[in-house]
Amino acid sequence: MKKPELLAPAGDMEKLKIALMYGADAVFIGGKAFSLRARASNFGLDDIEEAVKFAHAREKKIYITVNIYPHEEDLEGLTDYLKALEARNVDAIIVASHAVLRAAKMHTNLEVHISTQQSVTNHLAADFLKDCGAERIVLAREVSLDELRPLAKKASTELEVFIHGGMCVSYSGKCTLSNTMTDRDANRGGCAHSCRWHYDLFKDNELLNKNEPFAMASKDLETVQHISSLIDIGVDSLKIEGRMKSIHYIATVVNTYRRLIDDITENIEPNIPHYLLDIKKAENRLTSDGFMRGMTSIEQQLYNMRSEQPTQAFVGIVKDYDDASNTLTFEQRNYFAEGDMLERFSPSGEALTFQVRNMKTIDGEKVAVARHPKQMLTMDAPFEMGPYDILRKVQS
Amino acid sequence: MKLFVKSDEALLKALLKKDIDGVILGIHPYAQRMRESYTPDKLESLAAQVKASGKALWLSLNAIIHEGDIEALEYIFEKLVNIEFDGLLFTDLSVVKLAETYGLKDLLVYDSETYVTNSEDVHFWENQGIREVVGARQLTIEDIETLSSKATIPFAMQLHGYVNMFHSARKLVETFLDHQGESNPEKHNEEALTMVEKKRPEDPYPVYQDAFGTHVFRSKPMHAFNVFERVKASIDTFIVSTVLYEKARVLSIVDDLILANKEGVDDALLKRYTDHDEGFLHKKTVYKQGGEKS
Repeated sequence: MKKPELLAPAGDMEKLKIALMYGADAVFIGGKAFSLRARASNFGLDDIEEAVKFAHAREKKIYITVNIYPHEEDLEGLTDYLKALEARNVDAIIVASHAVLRAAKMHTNLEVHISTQQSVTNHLAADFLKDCGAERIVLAREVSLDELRPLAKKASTELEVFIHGGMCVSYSGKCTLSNTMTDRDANRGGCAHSCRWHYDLFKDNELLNKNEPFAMASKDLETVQHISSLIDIGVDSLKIEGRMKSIHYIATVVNTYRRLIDDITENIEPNIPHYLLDIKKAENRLTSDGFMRGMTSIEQQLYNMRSEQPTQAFVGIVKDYDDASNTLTFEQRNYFAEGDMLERFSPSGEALTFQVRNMKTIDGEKVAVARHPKQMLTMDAPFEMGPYDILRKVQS
Repeated sequence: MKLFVKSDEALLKALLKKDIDGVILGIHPYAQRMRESYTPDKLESLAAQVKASGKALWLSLNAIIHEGDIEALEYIFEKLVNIEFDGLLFTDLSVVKLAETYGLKDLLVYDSETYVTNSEDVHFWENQGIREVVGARQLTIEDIETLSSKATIPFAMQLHGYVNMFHSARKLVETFLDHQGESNPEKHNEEALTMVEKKRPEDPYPVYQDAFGTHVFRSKPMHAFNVFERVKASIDTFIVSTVLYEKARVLSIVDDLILANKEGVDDALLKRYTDHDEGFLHKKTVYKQGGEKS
């Protein structure tokens, strides 16, 4: 049984390290140029170099999104940028535009993955792109498991499938709602998510939405129950979406899928209800399995803007542990207080609870509450912890 | 500049009498956002009519092709080799592979609607040996002039008609009405509804659902009469989309385009298009460019 790559997003260096520590085999990041998700804190070339070194030291990979559809004025500097990425030993670039694919193949030896922005839904399209030099296709989110089975048998490229995160409700790359309504080019990093807005729906002058606005938004994707099928089909890479998500989200989601994939490929019966509960600790949006079972229905749509609160809040990240004094040093991320129950979540997936006791500033001053973002604090630790362990508050 | 009009059988006879260069007919079931589409057998007879008129015929096969459609698409290609036509509009890249197999690659016209945004895209398709490329709907007039000047194969634009701005595979209308408890939600399929955003009540967006999913259009159809001479001087083929128009309006639009082509555009003509806008011709969509590139 082939073990697929687990591919995670990262919007900055801390998220990248967390993703790799918590079990991702590869991370995709955006550079400061030619990348969608304009609001994500993208990586400069020096950061990319550091990211590649960090990943390669752990035998993991870094992919760079170069996934805008450039207009003429955006082409300037493209070739130099691609050469700069090649010089920094990135493992692949993810591209949508044929122009970028052409430039990468003409001027570099970079491995090229075709973005889901190309909306590839069949093996012949994948084969065409292979003829043009692409090594991997990130399939459209509209491909169902039943379509994927024959597609994977016939396609001659590597295949990557989205397993978790936000979904375009339109075929990706085919939408200009944002361009029309807000003057922001969705294919150049400016998507305003106009598809998630509320509308009135009319037939002539008759209002068809009686009790609530007409909404097109999709629930986020979550595929815990389908990972076994995706592995069985032989998909090469399983991708988590969300370069703008928090480190808590990335750690939790990546680690859940890591353990699930390992269970399946090591012939251990996965405890699906347990993994579903684990993933909910980070998820604060409603989820569904998208197109996995075929055409979507009410179940996959988001008809109210109610958000589910995660069952555990991210309150800190461990920086150091002193085993002589059983004291841990951590960076505060959200409010909590002396006496609260916390859960230590580590890259191994182990979750242990403990009570907050003897919280102090770095200078040794006692504090009753941790209220300042990114403040460094210490407290007693009833068991050993390590850097990058995450502290979550157990909600009562 | 050649003038091509997306047609159906009802319009065909009248269009073929007009001074246009060609018509575009849809291949059923893989043509979308057309007034109607036809099986290859039916197209064979319609093609004969077009050819008898001396006009050119392009066929549209612009659906997004899913894996389960490939076998049916192969059947269509087997039939296409028997039809006399001059161009094949396509979106899905599978069509290139099949056209190669059936010896039709040199008739391909790539129209992804949103992907061809720079001259290197055009060069990419030139290297593939296809016939023509259609620029993205969101190009400005300046973009169009730049791409045309650098294009090394014929360059086309769809510059009149309703502009599709959203296509979802999901049946969003039917699903929503089902969610609302409507007893027969599918009854609204294929009807042109409108959706209105509260902050933009002046912009009702036409929306309809069909076998391909849900389509949403810009609120007004576009015209290019204000920049007609610039367009004429740059592009090779001007495509007219006719979906969502009444038949009579299509014919009057075509008359006006022919008039503009021969005699130019005057105020009287422009006054007939106050219910249209200019699409993205003068609407540069923003991209906060920046950051290091090397």
